[in-house]
Amino acid sequence: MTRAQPLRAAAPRLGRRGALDPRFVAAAREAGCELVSRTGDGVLILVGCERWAEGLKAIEALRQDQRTRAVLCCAAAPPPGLGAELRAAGALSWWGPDAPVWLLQLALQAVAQEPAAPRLRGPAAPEGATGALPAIARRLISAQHAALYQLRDDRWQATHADPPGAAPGQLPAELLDFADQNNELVVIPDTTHAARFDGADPWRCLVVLPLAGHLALVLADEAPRLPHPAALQRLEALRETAELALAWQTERERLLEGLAAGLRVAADDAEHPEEERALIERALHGRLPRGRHLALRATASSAHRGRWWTRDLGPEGQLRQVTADEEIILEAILTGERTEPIDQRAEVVRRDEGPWVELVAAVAPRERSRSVRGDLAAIASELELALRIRRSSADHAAIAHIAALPASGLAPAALLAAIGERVALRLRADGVKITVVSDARGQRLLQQLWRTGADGAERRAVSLSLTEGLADWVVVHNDWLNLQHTGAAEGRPRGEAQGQTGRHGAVTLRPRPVGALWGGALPDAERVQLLVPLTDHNNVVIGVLGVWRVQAAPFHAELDRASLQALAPHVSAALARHIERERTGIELSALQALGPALEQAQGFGEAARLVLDQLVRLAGARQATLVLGEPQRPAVGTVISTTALSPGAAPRPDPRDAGSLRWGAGADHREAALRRRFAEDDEQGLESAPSRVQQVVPVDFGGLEGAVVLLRAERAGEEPSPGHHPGELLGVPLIARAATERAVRAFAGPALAMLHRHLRRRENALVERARAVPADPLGFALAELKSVLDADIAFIATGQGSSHTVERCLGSVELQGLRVDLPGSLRAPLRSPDLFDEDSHRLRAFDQGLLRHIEAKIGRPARSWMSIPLRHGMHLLGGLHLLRLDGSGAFGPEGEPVAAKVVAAAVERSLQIDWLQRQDELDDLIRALAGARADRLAHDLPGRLEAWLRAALHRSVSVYLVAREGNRSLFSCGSSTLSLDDQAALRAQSLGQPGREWREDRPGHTSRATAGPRAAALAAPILLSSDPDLSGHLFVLHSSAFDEDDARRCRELSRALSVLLEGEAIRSRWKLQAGLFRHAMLGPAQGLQSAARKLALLARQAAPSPVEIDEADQRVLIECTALRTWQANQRLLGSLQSGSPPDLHPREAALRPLIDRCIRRYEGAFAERGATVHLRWEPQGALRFAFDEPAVDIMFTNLLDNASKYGFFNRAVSIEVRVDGPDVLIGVESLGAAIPEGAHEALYHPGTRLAARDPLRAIHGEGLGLFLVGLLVEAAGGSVSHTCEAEGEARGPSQAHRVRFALRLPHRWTHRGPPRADPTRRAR
Amino acid sequence: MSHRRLLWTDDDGPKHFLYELSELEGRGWTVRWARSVTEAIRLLSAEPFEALIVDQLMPVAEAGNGVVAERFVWSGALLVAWLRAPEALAALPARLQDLTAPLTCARPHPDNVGLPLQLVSAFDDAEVDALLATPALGAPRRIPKPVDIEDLLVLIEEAEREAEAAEAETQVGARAAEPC
Repeated sequence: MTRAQPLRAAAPRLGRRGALDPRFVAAAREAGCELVSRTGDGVLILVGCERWAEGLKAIEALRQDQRTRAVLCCAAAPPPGLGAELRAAGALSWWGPDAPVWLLQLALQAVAQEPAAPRLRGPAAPEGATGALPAIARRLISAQHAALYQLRDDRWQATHADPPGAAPGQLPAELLDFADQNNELVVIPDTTHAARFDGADPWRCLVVLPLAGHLALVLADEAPRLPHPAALQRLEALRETAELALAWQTERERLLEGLAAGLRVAADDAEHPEEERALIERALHGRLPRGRHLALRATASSAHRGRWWTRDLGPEGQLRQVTADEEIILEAILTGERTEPIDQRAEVVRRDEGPWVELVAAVAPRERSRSVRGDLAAIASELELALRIRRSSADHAAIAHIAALPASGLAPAALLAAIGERVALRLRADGVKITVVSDARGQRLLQQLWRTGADGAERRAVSLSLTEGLADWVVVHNDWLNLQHTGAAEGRPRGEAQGQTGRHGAVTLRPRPVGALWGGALPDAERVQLLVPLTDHNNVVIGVLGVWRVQAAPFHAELDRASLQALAPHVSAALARHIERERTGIELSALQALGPALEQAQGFGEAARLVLDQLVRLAGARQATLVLGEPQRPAVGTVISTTALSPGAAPRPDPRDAGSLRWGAGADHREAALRRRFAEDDEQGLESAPSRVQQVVPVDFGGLEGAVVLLRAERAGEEPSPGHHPGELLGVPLIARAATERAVRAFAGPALAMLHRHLRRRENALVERARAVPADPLGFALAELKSVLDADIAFIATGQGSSHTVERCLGSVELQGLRVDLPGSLRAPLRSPDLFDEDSHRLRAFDQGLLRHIEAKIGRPARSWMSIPLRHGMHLLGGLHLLRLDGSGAFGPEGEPVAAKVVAAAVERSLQIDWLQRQDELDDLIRALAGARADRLAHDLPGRLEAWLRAALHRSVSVYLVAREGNRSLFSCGSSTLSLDDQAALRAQSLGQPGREWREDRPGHTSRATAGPRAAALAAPILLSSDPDLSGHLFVLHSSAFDEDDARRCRELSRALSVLLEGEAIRSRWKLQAGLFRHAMLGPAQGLQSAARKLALLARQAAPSPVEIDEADQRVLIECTALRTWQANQRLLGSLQSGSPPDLHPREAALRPLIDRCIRRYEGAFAERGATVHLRWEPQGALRFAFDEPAVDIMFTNLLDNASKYGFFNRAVSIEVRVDGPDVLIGVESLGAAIPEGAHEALYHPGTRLAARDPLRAIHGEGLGLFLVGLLVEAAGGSVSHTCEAEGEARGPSQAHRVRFALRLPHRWTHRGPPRADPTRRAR
Repeated sequence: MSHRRLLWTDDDGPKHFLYELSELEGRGWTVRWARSVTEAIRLLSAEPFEALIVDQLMPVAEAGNGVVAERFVWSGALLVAWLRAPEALAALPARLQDLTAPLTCARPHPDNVGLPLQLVSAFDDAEVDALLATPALGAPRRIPKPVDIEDLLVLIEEAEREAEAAEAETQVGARAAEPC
């Protein structure tokens, strides 16, 4: 009987539950399955032991909805994975050693109870919320209880349950182990009947769902039950999502834990081996899976290879080291000598991908190899990360230590020892060596700067070899080298060595004998070596850093090399910084010493020699020479040399001075030219001792180009003593030399800048002194410059144009009074450094006659000449000349700015003093001429002005002064050189531009006044704010243009002249007024006298001519009226001038009689001009109101007088009288000359007279009429106004204008009108 | 007695001298009138006169010619200087050169160079006096305003004497030229 027999026996019972689907039955039979029954929507398929495949095929033949309710039963165990495959297809499988009826019943119940449902997607397990899984799972399959178990320390422990607190009791671990290890969903429908479950637990149905990470979800029911396939599918889906979430969570926790471990490790003292071991143990602890023959080893370095660790099986599972036998097996596995598994069920897993961690595991059973491999990967990653951090941390600690060493102030030997010790410790090396390479005269030398254990041994430098030497190879190839000297024995020469390199693969090299580098054999044998190049900041190889071991323990090609390469740049930097610190210290001390010394130095040469002395000491040179020149000039301007190096030697002139040294106009080849020139001098024996150019340092000295040439002694005895130079104590001359060259280069710039600043300070101090010197600033400049510039002769020549005369002289030769011809165009300092070798065209700029004269006087030739112009603005006043005689050096370009500034300051100060003197002279001039008569003024002033201007402007000028009082010419005088045309032109210019200052320069203009082809004029206005009528100009003329300074001085002069001329203006004004006064009186008197005599003559005649009588009579009337008006005006004016205001006494009276009376007085005057008078009297009656009759008489008379004077001939004069509001208006209107624009206001000022044109006569008058009218009408409470309108076509000056003056007098009537006439008076 | 010609230079015009003109005409003089220096120069350079009366304060240029008819205290003296010693004009202050410019345009008629003249002045000025004191000007007689007829007749009589003397020289010369 097959195992399917019981199923068949049960078939009739099953069949009673319902009929099977005929199609399903047919399909199942065709597939060879035994279809047992079908009930509702469920399908139960029984298959034989070997027919699982047919059963699966039958399941797949079902519809999807049927599949989810199908159960495949078999009496034998299915092949692995079938369950999952069936569940993936949507069905459920069940198997067992037999096919019990109860199981079939439960299966049929399951498929009958659950409605058909599609495959469900499991609920998403919340990330990190494993505690929620039991509740979710319990709802999915409607279980009574659910719990989550985890394997910890080989024990399953419940972690979460739902409902809480109702966890199943002790579950057999075997069931959970089975599910966990096989990763299979286990369903125990009825624990009572299950052969593999014999517990007495109340739970009858158990479902175990294994999860990754040794987790298991257990669902339990108190009654037997087989879950519906759909429910189990949902559990499967839940497992997928839960495992995914758990994987994320686990991965993150592991990552965080690994990082935390790495950081913890990094904080540890990673140099200690025990700490390293502890690190590995910590990393392995808790992570190494339990299993047989499972072992791990971590390797952090070649010096310390980790031990094998494993965990035993058993309840404790302690981490332990492997036994010796186990280690043999593991090593064999690692080396590949053993490939077979440890036992039949074991699989070897190894991971040795990197240099850091070696992991080997022999995993049993074989099925767990996959998960073990994953665990190993995770552990390896953690370890590698931790070890990398640890390694990097250790390297950084060493780097930090090395980097801090230069600042500790260690001596060079101690510094190298400290670096070597640290490198050796870091690399587990027995010794360290540092080799340097440097260039020497085109040859590259190699020398071991330092080696462990070589204290006191003699070092040697060797030429860099391309064929032998390990360090040579590293330098040449710029690559690292890791090699082992196989067979090298103590004291025996090393043979060829096989080495590993970075970019050049495996190499075979021949080392240098130790004796080639050191004076004898060294105690340590370098069995293994690791060499890396030392590079500078430009990645140029400057040396080699090497470590070695005396034991045959090779350095790890990656780990140790990486560490040494990490340390190498910092070793280079530490050495460089040490040298730099030393160099900087020496530079600073040199600069600090230079500062105070410069303060004591006298002159540029002495100060420059102080700098050069410092450079000599710094460079260990024999002599230093400073060469300065101007850009673009081939000749060198300044050459200053130190004395010989030997102390106490007297200074001697250097033959290579500016006179004989030329370096070309271009800066590119100057260094080469200097080297060549100094080498030539050496060959020619100019040097007392053999010397050679050591260094040429280009310098910049305040805009001058130059260089410092350092000569070194060739004799060994004159080598500089050690200790003076940076890098010297490192013991390598080449390093010292390079450092010295850098130090010299670095010192030269600041030192010369300090020298330049020092000179500028002294220069500024000198300039300030020149600016403040109380007297004779030019003499001060002369003496100071002679001293500062070390001149033999100094003199000042002044004069006009290019003809100068020596005024004062300092030196051995008396040059007083000598004539010095200099070009008038000299505007800048003119320096002839070498008169011997000067170009002729430059030499012509100097007075060669004077030069010859001086040379004849002193009996030796002059060597160098410097002239600094004494300039006032644009004008050359003279020159300050400095002369060096033969035997002295040439004047350098650095002296020019000093001389120019000091001379400029002295000239400025001199001009200030001169100006103060000029102002005093001007005061004297004004004082002397104040009040002088105009003729004397005109006679004396031009000469005095010329003299004053000659002194103030430093040249002879022509001068012309013109002044006006209003439009009248008041005063004019000028130099005799001015022609009448010139004077007329200047007067016209002054008249056209009153009050304006201007300068003009007309090249090519020939004028007597300027005596040259150029005419420059400066006009300063005569102007006084207190006297607006005074105007005019002071003209100054010369053949050279005037500048602002000239204008300022002339402005000052014109201001003083304005004050002077104001007195003349006032005098002229009063004289004119007095003349007019007399004329105004005597003119009418003349007419009156003549007319009276005429009348008397006519009276004596028998038949006098009536016409002549009328004519004489009218003349009498006119002149009497004029005299009357004049007398009234003068009386009123006299009263005003005495300080009394107009005294008015208004009385009520009739105005008409007064008006008629005044008109009658002027009838003769109007008749004489052919004018007709029209009176328009608008008021009714005589117009009575209160007014002052004499005042109104004067006012109205003056208006009539003006109309008679300024009205044109044969025109009408209209007089209007009317009442206008509160006033009585009296208007006089005439046709006559226009009132000029701008004169409307001035009409009412005293002395203002219109420039009216009268074809027949001049107009009398004093300009008082309207002035008095204004005063009187104001006193009367009224006003006066006027209008002026052009009449007819425009005809120029002769155009008639309607001029109307209106007097407004208040009548002071009440609102009821004018007072009524007195009836009594009327009756009388 | 032939008519004598007198040039009276005064901007006041003849109406101020009604009586003096009657007297002169009564003595057979013809009076020409000039109101400015330039007008007087024009007349003095064009025709001979036997006497000249010059007002000291009058315009230099005629009005109506674009020139301001302003009177200058120098006018009379300038006219005298022009007539008697033109070189004295160059010694005048430069500021007067604008005034003297019109005087350089003409030269006096030869018969007028030594003309008897009187300067009538109501306006004194030291600078003008200095010019008039120049010997080259011949110390012209100066009479004040108002003019006294007696002062005027001094000039007239001198002029008449000189005129008669000149006429006598002319007649002698003419007789000497006649054939005996």
